[in-house]
Amino acid sequence: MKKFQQALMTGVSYMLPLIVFSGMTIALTGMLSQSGTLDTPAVATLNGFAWTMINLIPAIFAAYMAYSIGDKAALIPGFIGGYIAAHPPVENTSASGFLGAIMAGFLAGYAVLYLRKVKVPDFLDSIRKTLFIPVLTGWGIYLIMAYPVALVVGALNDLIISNLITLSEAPQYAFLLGGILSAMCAFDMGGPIGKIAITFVFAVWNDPSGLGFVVNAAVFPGIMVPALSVGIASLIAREKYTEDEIRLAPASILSGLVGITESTLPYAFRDPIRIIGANMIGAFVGGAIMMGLGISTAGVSGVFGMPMASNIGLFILAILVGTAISVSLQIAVKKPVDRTVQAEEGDDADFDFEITM
Amino acid sequence: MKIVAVTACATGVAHTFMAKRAIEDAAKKRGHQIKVETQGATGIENALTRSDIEEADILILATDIKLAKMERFEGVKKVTIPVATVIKSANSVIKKIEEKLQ
Repeated sequence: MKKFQQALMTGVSYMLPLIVFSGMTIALTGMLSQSGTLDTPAVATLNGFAWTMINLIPAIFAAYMAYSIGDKAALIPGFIGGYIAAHPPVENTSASGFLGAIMAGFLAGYAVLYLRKVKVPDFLDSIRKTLFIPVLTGWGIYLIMAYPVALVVGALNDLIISNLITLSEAPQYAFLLGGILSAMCAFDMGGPIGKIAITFVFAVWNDPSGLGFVVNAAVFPGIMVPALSVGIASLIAREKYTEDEIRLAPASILSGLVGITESTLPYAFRDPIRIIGANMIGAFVGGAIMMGLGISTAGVSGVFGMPMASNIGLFILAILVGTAISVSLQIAVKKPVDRTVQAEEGDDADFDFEITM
Repeated sequence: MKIVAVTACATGVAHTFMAKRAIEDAAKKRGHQIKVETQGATGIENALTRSDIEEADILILATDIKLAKMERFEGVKKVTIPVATVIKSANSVIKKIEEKLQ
């Protein structure tokens, strides 16, 4: 399980630059041609190219997931499987999307790990490395991904996406979905729950309906509100925050602006329920406004998503409202800090590990 | 004690470096020498050299992802823990290592 989780994180880690590149490029070229500032064939070509790159994301993800499990030899089998997840080769089957890419990375990784352990006579060993592993796992992955996975998971993926599109188009549900995604990010500030929300955004990122960009906007409050609001609240209500927290405030606000939620962690460790509670409520409202109003953006990382937003004013409003709610809640519920007692080191010793060679 | 460590998280922007700072502070506070390599978004920084690794009493791998160049650490005494544990409880990590190495 731990290996699987590590594989998922490795996949995310290596695909991120591609997501950033293609998202930013699509947003910028879209903006240039729609506003008529630079509506040239070259810009349109660049936009098309960025979409080609977006469709490679599942392949890169699966490749590095497989690499994490089965090392170098698993990279290409994973790529093959992930490519099929986005480009089903067989007629009447559908893209299995991110779900399929996860399966491809997992299967390719373990297949290679297993094949590397099979004992073969010495004279066959070099053939195994150069021929057996890439060809056999490649064929195996092709057969599995192109037929059963593309049929079953492909259909499931279609169902999920079409339902999500319906949800996101009906304002009475859209606000709920946006609120939940956003609150998930605020809950653990860059941790696994937020990653699930972000992974969901990436999973629908390359959907032609543009759904990916709508849910992408919805998670922005979840990413930005926590760090912004702890920073602002600690400057306003100084008596309720430690000196360290007040000193961290400018850095925290800056992190919030560029979308690094993690700088909220020191505040949350000291007073988890009040800080995380306030942040989640603020983020929920922000995400709900964002998605309820159908705002979309292809930008990533805090304020860099702002210029690409479909409605910049409302985008900023959603984040400001979320932040204001979280700041007021924190000031209302937090207790004054007792400055006479030296704060104990918030060290939680409830874990264990083994020393290995 | 001489400690070497490698930190890495999925995004490679924040947690990786927060863990580096946390483990450095905790080790220095308890009078140990420490060197921390980060495997962040741009790649390896402050790389551990062969002699760093040979001289170290313990290697701490604080990671959520597959680390690069793991072959350097074969046969080295090491502990593997999630990045979040180091950020949250660096002092306890160092204390537990001291106890276990006794």
